[in-house]
Amino acid sequence: MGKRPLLVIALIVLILIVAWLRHPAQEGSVSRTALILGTLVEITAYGDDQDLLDSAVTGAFAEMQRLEKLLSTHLPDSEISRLNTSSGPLELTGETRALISRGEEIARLSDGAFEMGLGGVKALWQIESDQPRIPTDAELHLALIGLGPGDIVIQGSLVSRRSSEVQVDLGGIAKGYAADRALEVLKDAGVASATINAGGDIALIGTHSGKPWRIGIQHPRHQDQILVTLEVTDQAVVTSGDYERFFEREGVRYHHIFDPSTGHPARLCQSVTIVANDAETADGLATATFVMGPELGLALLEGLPDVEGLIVTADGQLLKSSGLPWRD
Amino acid sequence: MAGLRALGSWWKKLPVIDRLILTCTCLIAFGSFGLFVNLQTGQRVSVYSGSELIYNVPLDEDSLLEVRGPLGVTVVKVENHSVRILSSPCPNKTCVRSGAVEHVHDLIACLPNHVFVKIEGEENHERGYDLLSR
Repeated sequence: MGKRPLLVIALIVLILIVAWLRHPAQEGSVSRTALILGTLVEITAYGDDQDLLDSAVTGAFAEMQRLEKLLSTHLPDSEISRLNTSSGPLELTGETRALISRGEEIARLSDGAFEMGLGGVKALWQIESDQPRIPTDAELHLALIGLGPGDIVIQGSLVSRRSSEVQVDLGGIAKGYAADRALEVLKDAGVASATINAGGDIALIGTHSGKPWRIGIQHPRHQDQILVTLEVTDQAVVTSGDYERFFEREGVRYHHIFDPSTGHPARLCQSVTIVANDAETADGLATATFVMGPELGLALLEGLPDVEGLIVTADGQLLKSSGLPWRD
Repeated sequence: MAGLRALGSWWKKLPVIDRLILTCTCLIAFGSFGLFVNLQTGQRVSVYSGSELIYNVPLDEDSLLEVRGPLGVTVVKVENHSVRILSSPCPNKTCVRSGAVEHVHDLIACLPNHVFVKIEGEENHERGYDLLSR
């Protein structure tokens, strides 16, 4: 070896380095999927200890299922379902009250564009059923009575609705909150790299093999295309769009994100993506911004710390906040 | 061209054993790329009804799978190294309109019929993103 020319040794080392770099790091992972809160949730945890990952992912799903029992409107015994059928104040857990309070905060920030009392309006449209319909103006007028910031009243441990028409539906914030809680379970278990994808609401721990996570954003009008890719670490990314749940009548698309001022689907955006430090905030702000529209929505996002956004306007223009982690 | 000629001349001057070592190193390095590509083709399609795994089949073998959910039978087709939902008893057919997917971690879901289809295996780092937000 001592007589081997230095160049030959250097070449060997170079070839091996190139081969090593070309191969992505293959660390262990555990990935599982389940239907929770009416959506598909995929949790993937990365690391070397398979038993730890497995147990952490199991715990994370258990946490989301626990929250589903509290917050779902599809389960008749959930706290939210009981609130919707209660004629007076109802004692709710501190966790549900805290989530409602944070929802009310987003409602106030967005001048009512984010609204947690739209359950009655959603029921009229039946968008997720096999017979969606366009409600009459009279029906919508009735369903909107009493709605607006402060329509869910919290007094101590008691929660009540301002009017019986306020049907609480935490769909605009519960998925994000559940993803955040599941993320905490993973972190507490010692997981340093993980992703939770709850129907497109994405919460992230750490990095992917030392690099930022690359989050592709769905093009709102071309299902097989990516609009942009964002590079994100330790944050959440949530997209709300008019293309996920909708029906069409006479060429008009009726989707599931309603404007609380009219009871009709909001019309100013095709999609809104929010990057924030937690999925709950990103979830609520994505809906709020979608309803507010590009101009007011972008102004709201620019005024909030640690929040960035990407808006596709109704006519397909792409707008972004100043600090969006864009990857060209 | 001059560079190539110099390289050829340098190669000829190398002892046979050095040429052998360099050739073997190249073969091992590039061979390992091939091994990695082969690992990629080990991807499988998992089809679930609720939380129950019903099928786990190779992505590179064509197949037609029927899975029963609360609304009826959803038909899943694996073809040309991709998978899609061919038919579904759900009202909106969003799952059918989703089209085909082909990358690891890609999902197609029929929420009304509680059926979902997932591609599992070694991650494909070439698709340009790790997760899709929609």
